[in-house]
Amino acid sequence: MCHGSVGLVARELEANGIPTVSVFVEAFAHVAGRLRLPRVLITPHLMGRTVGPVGDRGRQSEVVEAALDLLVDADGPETVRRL
Amino acid sequence: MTDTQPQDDEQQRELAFRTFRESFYYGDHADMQFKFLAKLDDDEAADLVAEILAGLGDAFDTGELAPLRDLVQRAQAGAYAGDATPQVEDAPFTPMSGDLSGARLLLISAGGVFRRDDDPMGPGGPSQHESLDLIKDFLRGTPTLSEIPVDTVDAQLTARHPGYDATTAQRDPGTVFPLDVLREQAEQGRLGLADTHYTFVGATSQTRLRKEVAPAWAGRFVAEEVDVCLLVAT
Repeated sequence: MCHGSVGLVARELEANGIPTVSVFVEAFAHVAGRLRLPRVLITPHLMGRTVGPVGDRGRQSEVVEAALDLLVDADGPETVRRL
Repeated sequence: MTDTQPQDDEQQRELAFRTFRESFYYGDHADMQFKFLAKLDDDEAADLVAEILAGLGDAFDTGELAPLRDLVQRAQAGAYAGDATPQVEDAPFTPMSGDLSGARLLLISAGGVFRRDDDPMGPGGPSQHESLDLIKDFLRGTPTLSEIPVDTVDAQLTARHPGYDATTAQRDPGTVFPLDVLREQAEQGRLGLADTHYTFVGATSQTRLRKEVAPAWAGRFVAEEVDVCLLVAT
């Protein structure tokens, strides 16, 4: 549900000229595919810890940097990268 | 009587276990981390519970929680793989122009994070636990944006969400709303940040979000001259 909500917002932003990157957990990777999102970073984390575990600032930074890289690197729609 | 009693007993045992695993989904044992037990069949759920307990026993000795975490993560992924999100036809895409150094990046999270002094449900709003009883209201409702000024520190934030266990985000907002990490990136010159960032509760009416709310939000972000957006799902 929540991953779908993010997908709907991302699609609308793209349609209005704002490039997006979305971060999803693996459990809902299929939602990104069905909503045909432009750029998606899939993390192997538990639900509710999409960016990383509590207190693990190193992992959270790694995820953010990977998402920013994907934002810049993707050269076409439906670019999916797994961390 | 004696012929049928064993079968009745077995049915009662099956029902009791089914009731137990289903109770994690907004029932007596409501737990957003394990609500997926309701999606498994009895055998799958029983095996998983046994594996989790065995892993917990190992962790008592080793202090190593990663195998247990990986076990639950794989189980979540397997349980949710079959949901019925419809396939869309189009794939909107706006190319990036240049790098991020001159861009105004907007962070949006669906994790229900908000400023402690700006509760979207008003002063004294429900606790995380109490919000679970409101899940149907959220799913019928209209999502609203919580504004998070760019200089907001994590200690000023909390979270509430009826679809996942937001006590995690209460402990560390960076798990779903990495504004602090983005500020570090901005200080290093990799990107610029918008003045205001946003969160909402992703458990909401999908139809209303798609038809009314998301288009209005997009117009708002365009007016705020946002260049790029990082979104975090929960």
